[in-house]
Amino acid sequence: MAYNILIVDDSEVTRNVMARTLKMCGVDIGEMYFAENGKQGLEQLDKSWPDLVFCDINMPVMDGLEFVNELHKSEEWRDLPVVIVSTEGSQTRMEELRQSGIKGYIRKPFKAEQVAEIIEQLLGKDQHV
Amino acid sequence: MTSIENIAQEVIMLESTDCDACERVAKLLLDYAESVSADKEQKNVAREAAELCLRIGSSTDPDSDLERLNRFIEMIQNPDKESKNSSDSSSIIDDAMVAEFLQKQESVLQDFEASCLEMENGDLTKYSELKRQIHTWKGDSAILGLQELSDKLHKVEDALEDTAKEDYGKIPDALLKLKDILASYFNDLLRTGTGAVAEIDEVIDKLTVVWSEAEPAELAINYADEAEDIQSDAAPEVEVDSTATSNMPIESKEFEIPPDVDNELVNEFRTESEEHIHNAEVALMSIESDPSDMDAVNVVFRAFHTIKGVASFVGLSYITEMAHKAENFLDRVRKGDLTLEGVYTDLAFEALDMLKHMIANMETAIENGRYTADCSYFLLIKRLENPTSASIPQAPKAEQRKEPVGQILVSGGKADPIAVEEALRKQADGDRRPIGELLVEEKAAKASDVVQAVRSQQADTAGVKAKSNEGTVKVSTSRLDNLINSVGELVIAQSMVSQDPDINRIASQSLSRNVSQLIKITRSLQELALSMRMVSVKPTFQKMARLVRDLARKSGKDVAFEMHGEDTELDRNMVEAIADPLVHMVRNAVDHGIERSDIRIANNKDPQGLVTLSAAHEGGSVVISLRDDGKGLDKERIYAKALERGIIDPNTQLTDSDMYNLVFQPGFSTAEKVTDVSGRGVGMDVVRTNIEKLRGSVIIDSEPGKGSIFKMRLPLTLAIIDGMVIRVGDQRFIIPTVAITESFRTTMKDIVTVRGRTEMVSLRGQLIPISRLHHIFDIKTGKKSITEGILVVAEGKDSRVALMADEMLGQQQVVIKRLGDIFDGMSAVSGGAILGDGTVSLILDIEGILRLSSEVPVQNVRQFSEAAIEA
Repeated sequence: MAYNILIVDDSEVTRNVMARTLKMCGVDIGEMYFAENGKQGLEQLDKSWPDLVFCDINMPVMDGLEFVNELHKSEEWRDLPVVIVSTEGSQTRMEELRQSGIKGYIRKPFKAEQVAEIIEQLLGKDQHV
Repeated sequence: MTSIENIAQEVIMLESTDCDACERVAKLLLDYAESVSADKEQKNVAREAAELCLRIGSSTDPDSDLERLNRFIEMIQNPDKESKNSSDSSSIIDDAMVAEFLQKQESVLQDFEASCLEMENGDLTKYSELKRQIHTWKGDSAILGLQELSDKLHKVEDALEDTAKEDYGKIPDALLKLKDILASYFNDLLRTGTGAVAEIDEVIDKLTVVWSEAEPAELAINYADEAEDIQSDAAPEVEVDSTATSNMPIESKEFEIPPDVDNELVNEFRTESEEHIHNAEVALMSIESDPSDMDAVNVVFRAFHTIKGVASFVGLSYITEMAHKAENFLDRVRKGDLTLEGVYTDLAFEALDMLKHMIANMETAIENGRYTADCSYFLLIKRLENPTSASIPQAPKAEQRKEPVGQILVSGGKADPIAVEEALRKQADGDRRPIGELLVEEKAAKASDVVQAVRSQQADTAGVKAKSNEGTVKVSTSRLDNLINSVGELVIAQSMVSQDPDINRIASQSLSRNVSQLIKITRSLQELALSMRMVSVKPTFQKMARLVRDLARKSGKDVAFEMHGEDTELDRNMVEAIADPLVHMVRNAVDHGIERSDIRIANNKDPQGLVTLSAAHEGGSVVISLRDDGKGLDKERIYAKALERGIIDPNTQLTDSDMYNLVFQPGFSTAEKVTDVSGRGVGMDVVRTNIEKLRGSVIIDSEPGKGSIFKMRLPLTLAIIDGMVIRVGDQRFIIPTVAITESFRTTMKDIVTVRGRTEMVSLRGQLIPISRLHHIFDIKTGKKSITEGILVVAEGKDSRVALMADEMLGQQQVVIKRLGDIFDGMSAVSGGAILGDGTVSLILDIEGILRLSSEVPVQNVRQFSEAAIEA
């Protein structure tokens, strides 16, 4: 089964690179959906039914943490795994993120292996075969 | 020699607080770098690691630095793995992607610059926008492999973070510098593939200097701290109070205002807020007619949000509080929780009115150091907090205006209409559960159907949202030009067909209807095609804003810049073409026009000079004017200079306006010395030539001591004009319709001949010189007597001429075709056009004809016109 992925990032570059990385990382990716901020991300959920979300922190309108909090508040999306993709990388920050229920963290710039690894770690490796 | 394994051990044990250890590890790494100097990559990595190591002690984010250090060590230990990885990621990021990124930066940088300038002018809300942009650049550049840039930007971000509020005023200057560096860096990268970012260190220095400069000013900081204390004291009190009001009787309450409120900030806050409030009022009114207009809701939300932000900056906590509550209220509207209808709209209006009132009276409050909020204040806050409370009747919710779920179910045959009715009745009786739930409970519908119905309902609203989001497509300009040319040809072909005598002989109603339909469509297609080339002059104006600022700094003058009508649209080519002339004129205005502050004060003027750039539609053209309130042009000096340069004859009589416009003559420059800013040998004559090339004109007017104004009049587009076709003998000519004021037949008694040479016609008591087109173009056929022909009065920039023609044939839009370089020197004609019947006709240049008729012997241009027609 292919995974549907939602990418939430205000930078078009990051969205594009992430999309390419996903295509090339060896994991079977189904549909990819994009949102420019947390609010758009929430709106996309019903349309995209993603298996996993890659989300930036610093975004206009609604930032990544607010987005994650909204997810946790909702009945339907509580368990949707979110991986934060950001340039902020301090230990304290990561601890904070982990506590707010983030499933994974990738630091920009990321590599294909990291992305593949985190998908496999969160969604399982062999499902797509 | 220390092996890398030992260093790795050390690094693992390393504490970020242990400076000595950091230094030791750094030294080890440097030694290691020396030892592997043969392997360049390894050496560089080790060096970088060493540098990082030295920085850790002073880093703001030691944890992440440690993590990076660890990665460096890993890279040294497993060079192969790293190179494999990097080759992997480089295959994801290709040159095209970087190029795309770079191309987009131009407009991003422009916005960034504009925000910088706005922040410099006191709009502190831009700060977070600027910060986020730097953050985005940092992330993007890291992803695109521009690591060096990313690192530098990271430092800039840190430096910004460390900047104290009191020093915000100095940020824009540093960021403008950053913008310049990035602009040239991106540009170099795009063209040559390499670029340098080292200069960014200067920006960081600038920002950190901002920081350390503030330190000696201990007094100021303490003062500010106090102010903050007061603020932070005040805030919780308000909290307590406003929550208390929901249960307790409402009392009045005093808000303290910090004593060091910046007056300038207050004024800017006032103007900005008034604008926001005005926009919000307009938006609210449009919401009243269409409550689903989310854009309008956002305008109102933004108004409250901005007022909140700025008020807290200024230190007016009572305004912050009110705006904050109003913002929350609007946020609920945005989320669809409430709909702005009826009482809710009233509530929003009340909040706006209250804010308006408070802002209008804030000066008194600041003077008193306190604001006494009465019960109306708290009542409003309470209602904003709890708009659905008993005091306000429940307004219909947003969802109900969509197609109800029940209806979707019924129309899809998924539920029985009677059951839905039943459920609705239950809801009306106070059952608050959603209708779907009720239906499922009654077994009137399947849960899956309900879910689907809800989803399709949501999809409907999503669809509406998507529609409001306009998409754009990038098209290369050459393709656009091709399209416009083709449309131009189509217009000609269409008029050739519709005017074809053979076709006109066919007496068919349906044919004539179809032809007129074709004409209509062609016309709208043409307008559409042309509008695609139209762009706003805003980016160009914004560049001027920056220029004024930089010039003012360089010349040590205090100059403000204003722009009006910057949304005016002009042909793209035109906008590009006016940029250079504008730069010249702005330079002149700041360098020669505006005086130094001390001189201005001595002359009883505002110490701050003002340069205003405005664009506006006037008739069929766009007028761009540049006004400065400087010392004005020096008539005497211009005259003396013009004499000295032999531009004018000592005997010439000149009006003031003639005198001023002498500066446009070739070889004229009034600057006494060449400065860095202007007077580099390119004079105003270049400006005029450039503008006239665009079929525009430029005039200058000035008042001594009050300033000068340059007015550029430009045609809307370079490609098409509305023309009046006239006949002169066997030739047809086109006069631009905008130039024509009237046409009439005259009688001999109105004709006056001056000195036996110039013919004039008296029109309502005014004498207008007559220009016989027969003479100018040496046309032998046609009417000879003035009374037989028709006189068309055409207006140049400051005088009129009556053109004598045989008859007027009608109005037509024509596509201008250039005649080619050999006709450049010909003054009576500005171009050619193909008429409906396929013949070529010349477009008259009124200015040129005016010049011709003032110069003595009328040139024989018959050959030119014939040659043009043959071509």
